[in-house]
Amino acid sequence: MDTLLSVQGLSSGYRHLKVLHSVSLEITRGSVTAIIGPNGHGKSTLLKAIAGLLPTWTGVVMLDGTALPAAASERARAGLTLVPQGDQLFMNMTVEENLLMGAYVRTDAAAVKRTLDDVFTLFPRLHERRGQRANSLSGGERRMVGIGRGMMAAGKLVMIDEPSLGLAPLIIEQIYGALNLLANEGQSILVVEENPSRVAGVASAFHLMDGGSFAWSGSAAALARSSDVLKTYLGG
Amino acid sequence: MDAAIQIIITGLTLGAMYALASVGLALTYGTMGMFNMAHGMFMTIGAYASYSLSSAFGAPLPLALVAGICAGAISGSLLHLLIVRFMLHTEDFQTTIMVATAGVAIALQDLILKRYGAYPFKQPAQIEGSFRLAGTAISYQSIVIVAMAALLIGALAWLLTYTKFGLAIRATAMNQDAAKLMGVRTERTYLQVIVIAGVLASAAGILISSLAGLSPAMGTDPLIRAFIICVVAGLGSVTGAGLAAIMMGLFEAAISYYIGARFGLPVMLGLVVLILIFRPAGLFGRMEVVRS
Repeated sequence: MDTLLSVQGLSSGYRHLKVLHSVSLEITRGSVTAIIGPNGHGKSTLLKAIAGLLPTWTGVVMLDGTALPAAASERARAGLTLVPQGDQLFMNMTVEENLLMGAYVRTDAAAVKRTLDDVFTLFPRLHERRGQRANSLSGGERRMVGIGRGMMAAGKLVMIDEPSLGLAPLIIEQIYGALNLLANEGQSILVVEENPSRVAGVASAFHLMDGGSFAWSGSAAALARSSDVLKTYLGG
Repeated sequence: MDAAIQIIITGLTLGAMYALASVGLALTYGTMGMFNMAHGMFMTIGAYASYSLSSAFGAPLPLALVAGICAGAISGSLLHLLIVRFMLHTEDFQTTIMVATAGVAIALQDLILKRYGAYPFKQPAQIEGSFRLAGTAISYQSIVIVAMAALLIGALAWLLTYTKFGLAIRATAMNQDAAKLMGVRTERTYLQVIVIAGVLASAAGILISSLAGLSPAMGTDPLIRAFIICVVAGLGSVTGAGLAAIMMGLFEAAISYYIGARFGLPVMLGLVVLILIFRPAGLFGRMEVVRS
């Protein structure tokens, strides 16, 4: 197994409130891993802590065998990309400027241009709207910009926080279609979703988060067999 | 007709100086939520630095100007490295940094008072002479002031709009966390922003002192005006601050001409109250309207 990301005993939280209790996680290169579970149990907190937006209280985060520095900017430069919940776009910038910000640390202009073309191929809608400001886009278009901006970093691992949040079913299908394409190209992805049915077709490894730690972990096949566990946590 | 030209020339000169003074203030506020009470001291330091150089060493005007601007840049970076850096992650940064920079401003003003005394000096860096346009005398001094302001602010606008450096500053201003996730080293961005503010403010200080002379408290009045301009424009709006500054300069020149110089500031303040009643977010500020 070729491990890309290794998280060991990670604890973190907000101010004095501990949310993550010694979480450990391994991600294989080129795979899609999903973290599922009810709201308010630390899924987004885990992604923020891995990205360095929240301080690590205990534990280590290693990418490609080296321990990552604490600052979020340095982790991004090391190849860890987070597509945050609610997109967090640069609202007064155009779509194209937002996408170029995604490639901020890359220096090879020709390669950046190629990735930009890839993003426009994946989301033709963004090409139509590339001169438009982000604050004039619809929710689905914003999600596309968020994911496209994540692609622009050409990072080793892309972490996506609730890609389906607040979108109409038709748009969710489009977004997941895009994620599928990315996964087929060999992009390593860590995705967080409340509802496992959305990610069941894409991910190969699953972790169920409850109360700040993993209550259940397993493969796609194991998930299919463990409907009882899921019902207990997520309701039927 | 003569009066109109005179008012426009005076107004543009005032406006150019106000713009230099307020654009940096707007940029620091817009990027990092820091209202820099020591911003006026950048002006004082710039003015005194170029005064010292030209009076002590007889340095020519351009050199004194560059030295003053460098002094502003150095003061800006010191302010960041010695104080702001350590306060960035404290709670209520916006409030505490105002108090801290106010303290710095008072301390620096006293140091200048101790070193140079309270007696006002004439800025030796002067440009003499004037020419006549349509019967109105226009001093070369005014032309230089307007040209310098246009050059510096134009350079800033170009930097913010077309360079990667500027893109990072704008990104940090719009969404700090997202900027970090893109790999922007935001603390370095803050340093750069304060240095830019120091450069613009010290240039403003030198120009203001060339008209009004030097005194330890010379930065206070322009700071108040810069603050008013930023509020009128909408706090944090950089382009707005530039435009509002020109408007305020023209307005003040007209008031001074028709009513009297001492009514300039009070009438300006009255205007601000009116603007804030009808447009609480400022002329160019937008209430965060996000379609969702």
